[in-house]
Order: sequence, then C-alpha cells, then structure tokens
Amino acid sequence: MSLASDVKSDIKAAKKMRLPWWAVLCLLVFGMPLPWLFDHFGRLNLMLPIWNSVAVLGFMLALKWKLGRHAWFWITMTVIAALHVPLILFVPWGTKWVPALAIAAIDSLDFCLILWILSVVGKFVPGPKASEDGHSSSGGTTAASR
Amino acid sequence: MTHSAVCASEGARHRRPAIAPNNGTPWYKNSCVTSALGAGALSAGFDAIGLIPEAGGIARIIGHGSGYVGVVADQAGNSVIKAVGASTGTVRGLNGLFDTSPQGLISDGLTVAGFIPGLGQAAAIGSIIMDTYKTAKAVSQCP
Repeated sequence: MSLASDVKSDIKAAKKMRLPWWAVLCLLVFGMPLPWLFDHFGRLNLMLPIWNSVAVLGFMLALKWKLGRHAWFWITMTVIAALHVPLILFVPWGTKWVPALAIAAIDSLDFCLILWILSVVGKFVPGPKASEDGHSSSGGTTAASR
Repeated sequence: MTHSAVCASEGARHRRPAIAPNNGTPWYKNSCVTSALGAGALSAGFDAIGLIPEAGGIARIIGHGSGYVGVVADQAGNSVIKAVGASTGTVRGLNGLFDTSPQGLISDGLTVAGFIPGLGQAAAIGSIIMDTYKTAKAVSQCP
C-alpha cells in the first residue's frame, strides 16, 4: 500500500472516532482546575497548547494502539512528543480567545504530520507495516458515543 | 467629638467599600459583570460547536428541520453537511493530501479538521474550560 493510501485510510479510521459523553464530562470536570494551576504559575498562555498537544498525541495513540508492541512506534512517538516541547515553550502563545474550530484545524495539521511521519518510519522499519495493524483499534473505547 | 467617635467614623468610612462594593447593585445590573458573562457565554457557545458530534447531533437537527425523524433525519442531515463541506472545497483538499508547500499543508490541516470530530471535541473542551476560567476571573475583578 502506498504512503498516501496509508495516511488516507488512517484518516478514514480517525473520522470514526468520537469521545464518549462520559469522557467529555470527565475531561470538563477534571480539566477545570488546570487554568487555575497554570495561572498560579503565571503561564496561563501555555494551558491550551499543552492541552491540545496532549490531545493530539493521545488521539494518535488511540488510533495506532496496535502498533504499541513495536519499539519503533514508541521511539517515534517519544521523539514527536519531545519536538512538541520547544514548540510549546518557545512560541509566544497568547491568552486571547481563538475559536476552538481554528485550534482544531491546527491540531489536525499536527495530527496529519504525525500520521505521515509514522507512515514513513513504518515503511523503513522491517516487520509488520503500520498499515497492516495500525488503525484497526479505531472501533475501541473512543467510538462508543456514535 | 470624642476620640472614640472619631475612630468609629473613620472605621466606618474605611469599611464602607468592603461592605457595599457596588452600592448594593445586584449582579445582573452591574454592567461589568453582565458584559463579562456575555462575552464568556458567547465564546464558550462558539467553542461548544466542536462538541456536537456529526451523527445524531447537528445532522439530526438539520434532518428534523427537513421533516425527517430518527436515522432518516441523520442521513438527511449528513447529506446537507457533506454538500456544504464539498462546496467549501474540503473534498478537493483531501485529494491533495501530500502537497508539501506551506499553503498545501495548511490547507490539508484545515481539511482534516472538518473530518476528524474527535480532535474538534478535545479542542472544544479545552477552550470551554479556558473560557469559563477567564470569565470567572473577569467577573471576580468587577467592582
């Protein structure tokens, strides 16, 4: 399967994923103290970048959960997560309101890039390919609300 | 006037702002509070759009508007959403997924945003939390 087909099929699987209502509720309740915590340390502007980076990486882990038995997947994800740290710390994020849909667009760009990186790495690593066992987990817990 | 009377008078003058900071105006008549709440509600309302799942949510509402019910309403609503998406060029964006120019990558990101509801939900939750906190902070700073 080509790289483009891999990523397209991953996106197709990602389309079917939803947060169940109880997860939305839990995130809302347990996330409420977070801005206070960030504000306490004077870094309220970092709350949304960190929140969204964790969401993208978490979403990717849920999508590619079956690749978890491959060391290359975890190494790649660790490198990607590490690359997000300077992105969060050194970009001058503000606290001005930005529509969530615009933030979701940036998240999606990030998601798309990570999918592409994982597909490229998967192509060069010997053994089972990302396309063979990468996105069959999409019908798991996160698809419960549909 | 005796010393104690002067002290009592001074104390009353100093305490007055703490006892009645807004001259007894109810919160719903305080323009600072109402404008902060209004702005917060508006931004949280916009952000909450991302929480609405495509199936059974906004699609069903659109379907009901067309006179359908249940799954048929979902299908009718989804058709409308897909038609709107296609008209705004989202399908065209998916075909050019590997355009590596900056404009192409941004376009791809925007395209995918419309297709991955899970990320929209997560972004919406974070933004709603932030809106709530900023609104509460703004209200607490009102006189």
